[in-house]
Amino acid sequence: MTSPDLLSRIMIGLACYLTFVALVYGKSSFSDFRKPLLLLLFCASACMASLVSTWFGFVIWVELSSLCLAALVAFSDTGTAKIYFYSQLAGGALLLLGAAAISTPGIPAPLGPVSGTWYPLFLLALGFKAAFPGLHFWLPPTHSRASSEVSLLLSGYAVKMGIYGLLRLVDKPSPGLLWIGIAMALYGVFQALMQHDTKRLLACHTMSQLGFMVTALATGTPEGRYAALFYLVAHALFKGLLFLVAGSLEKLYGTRDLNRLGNIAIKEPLLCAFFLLGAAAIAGFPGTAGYAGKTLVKSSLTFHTAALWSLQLAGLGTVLYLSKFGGYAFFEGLRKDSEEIPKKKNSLPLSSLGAMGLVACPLLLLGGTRKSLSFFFGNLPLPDFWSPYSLGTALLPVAAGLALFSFFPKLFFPRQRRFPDVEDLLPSGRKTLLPPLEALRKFHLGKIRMYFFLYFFVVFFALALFSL
Amino acid sequence: MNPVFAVLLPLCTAFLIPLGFIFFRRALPLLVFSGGFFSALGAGAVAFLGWGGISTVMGGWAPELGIALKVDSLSACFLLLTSLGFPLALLSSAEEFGWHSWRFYVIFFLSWASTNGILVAGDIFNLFVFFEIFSVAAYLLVSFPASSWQAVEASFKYLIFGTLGALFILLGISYIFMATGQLNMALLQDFFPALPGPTLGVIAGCLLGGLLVKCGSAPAHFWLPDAHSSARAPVSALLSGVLVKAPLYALLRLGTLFFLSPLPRFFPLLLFFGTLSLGVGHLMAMQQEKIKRMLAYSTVAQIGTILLGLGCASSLGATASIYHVFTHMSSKMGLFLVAGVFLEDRHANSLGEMKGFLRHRPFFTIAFALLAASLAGIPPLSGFQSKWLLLLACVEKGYLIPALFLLGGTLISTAYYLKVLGAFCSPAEAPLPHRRPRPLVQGAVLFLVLLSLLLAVLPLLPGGKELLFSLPPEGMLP
Repeated sequence: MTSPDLLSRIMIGLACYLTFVALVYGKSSFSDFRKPLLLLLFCASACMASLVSTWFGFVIWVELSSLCLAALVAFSDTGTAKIYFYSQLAGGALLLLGAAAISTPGIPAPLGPVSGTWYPLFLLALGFKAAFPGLHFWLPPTHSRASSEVSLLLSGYAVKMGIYGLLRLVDKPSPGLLWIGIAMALYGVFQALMQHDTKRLLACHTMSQLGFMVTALATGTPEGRYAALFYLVAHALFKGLLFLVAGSLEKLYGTRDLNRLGNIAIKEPLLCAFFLLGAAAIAGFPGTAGYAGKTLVKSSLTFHTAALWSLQLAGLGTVLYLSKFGGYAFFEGLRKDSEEIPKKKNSLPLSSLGAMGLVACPLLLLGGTRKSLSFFFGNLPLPDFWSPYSLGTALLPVAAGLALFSFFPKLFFPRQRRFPDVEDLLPSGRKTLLPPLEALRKFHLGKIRMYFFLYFFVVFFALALFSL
Repeated sequence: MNPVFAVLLPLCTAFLIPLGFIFFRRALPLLVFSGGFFSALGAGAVAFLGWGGISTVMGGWAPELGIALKVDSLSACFLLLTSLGFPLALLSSAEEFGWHSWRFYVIFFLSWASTNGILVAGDIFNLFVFFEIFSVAAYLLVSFPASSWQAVEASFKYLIFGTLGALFILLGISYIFMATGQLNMALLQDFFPALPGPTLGVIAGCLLGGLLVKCGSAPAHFWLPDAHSSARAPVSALLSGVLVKAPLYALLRLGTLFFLSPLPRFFPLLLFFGTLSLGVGHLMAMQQEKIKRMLAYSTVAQIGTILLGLGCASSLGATASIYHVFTHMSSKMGLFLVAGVFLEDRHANSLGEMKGFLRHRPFFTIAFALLAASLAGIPPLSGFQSKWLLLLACVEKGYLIPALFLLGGTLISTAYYLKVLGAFCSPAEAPLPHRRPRPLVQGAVLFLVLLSLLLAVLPLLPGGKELLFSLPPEGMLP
């Protein structure tokens, strides 16, 4: 282990801060010591994952943190926890194979750039963690079915371990990764638009936001890497806040379905204010951390016009899905005015509101002032955040999105049926695997003479192979 | 120290037990435990003192004629394994069988003596003789006490397969004697490179065919799930934890001595059978509803895992295999012992009925979880460490498919162990009957958990890595 660099320090700080917020938010719902203990264990392993200097050590601590999170998800849904754990284990296994391939016995490979044959394997392995398209099957169910404080950590930190790995892995331009990032940004936002479950909608959008980070770091430039790092922190904060808001709605009204929510802004003005702040940040509204992050990402893509416009399109989608969330949950909604939404709980505990406040404050503090960003970048030249170009590129998707939603609200009507995604292939995959497994099982229930024939065949095969 | 003590002490105990039962029945526990203690001490002492290498020929005969015994760091490792595994199985057996079944202890010590004999044998005929005693003792252990037809059937199946395997080993040894006129391993080493290709191939095929049956690797594993699951828990623990390792030692010893340079194709085939075993074992374990049968199929997979290291034909591969041998011993013995306790409590073998154990027996359930996680390869436990070394060995040689199977095995085994743990931790539908105190099994399981944890931190301890990499004798493998 070496002394932590800026990247490690930021990751450790983020892990500790988000765990603290999760502990504060969940304080009122913890029935025994198990959840807080698991949260602390997660924090410890996440910090260790950021501190280690070898790929081998990184795999160990990332797997341990996944184990803690899987146990936390299991409190809400055991099946989803299993899917999450197996997918993370698969990613970890591939990463371990990559680590073994570039290590020598007794000297594990340092946590750094990898080039050549093994680079795609590392990308694939980290793709499980960072939810690359096709490998993201675990993300929407896990993030949406976990309790809100766990979703905060899953979306705010766990997926970022994959981005952290990519930041360590990639140190030069990677066009393939750039296109993967663009695909993530567009596919994620498209899926988010198709959802009617508030937490699932946010979960799908996490993939899109990860795409912004992947695209930036794939440029291989210092600007791109720093933009990805800053966006990583900003996303952890605004997505964390939105997950806490969605969780609070569920706590209060017992539902996450946009079809059943509506007109909540009047009843819960504070919650609505937190939502608007989170939404403004995620949409990249000037003055928020999201604006600074998006401006940095876009400035790193100056020489990648296609990528830049693709991300602008993803930004437009972001505004649309936020309008859908806000419009149908907090404002007009689909319910008739006379219809009262049954309330499960009268008010939110103070700790929950405090936790949301804890995430909201840094969103404004990191809102694009050079002073606040110098912590991240030191002397690195920064783009002019308040130039007309920066403001224009930030406000364009916001204005276009709001206009589109206002004119065609029915286009974004929350439908009851879930839009298909990669995770729907899992049951059919299981069905495909069952017949060969059944055949293998039946073969083991056969007659002993059959095994003798097989054994003799194998011995003669060995004899022939050795003697020829 | 003469290596013969490793064989002689358990053999003498086996001889004394019937006499002790006839003349001093009350002293039988003392005799059995002191016999076990001195046998373990003897084997341990031979292992420590013979680490650097001891070679002796009994009776002062020439090496061609006398009974040659040899200990080096490889056999010392396996001797250490028996001197840990057998006493633990003995303690658990004492609690399981009591003191009326003196025959069991005779068979047990015979098995111990023969296993140690395989490990110290310096000539291949004595190796075969010890294998025969080992096999007969194992057949009897599986069906002891012969009260269940399932156990008798499993023992019979094991007998048929074992005899077939022994036949091939004997055939291989006969061909060796016909071709070279020698049986001493050290002397044979020089004869093998000069043998004609077809002769060498037939010898290799026969030995490999025989030893694959003995160690229970696929596709000759069909006896193993029955035998290991039908036997009583301490016997299953012994079979899976220690006894299957003796043929693996023989494969490593004979393979490296005879076939390393004259027949390099021997090792890739070993790797192939290892990969097959790994895949079949895990896929079958995943489909089991009976806990002991699941553990038995997992043993098939773990044998395959160990064979992967042997098949790499490198010093690193052998180190990884030996490390995994210890990891598997500590975990699987513990898992079988815990499963035995739960089976007795529930009087059922099916997973659907194995509920409520977290409250009923929390120590055993937590120990099971820890050992299962280790065996599945969850970081940073010992199974993970040994699999990492195996992975390094496979990748070093460019064997990517076996490496992928190894990693896939981790996923599948995690799935089936989670299924078991899910059952243990779920609330019981019917209250569990009064539980019998199991202090000796509890002590054995605690020891195994501590051993597993020690193995996990071994590479991190000062000198741990050096110790690990010095396990295969110098010059045995490239």
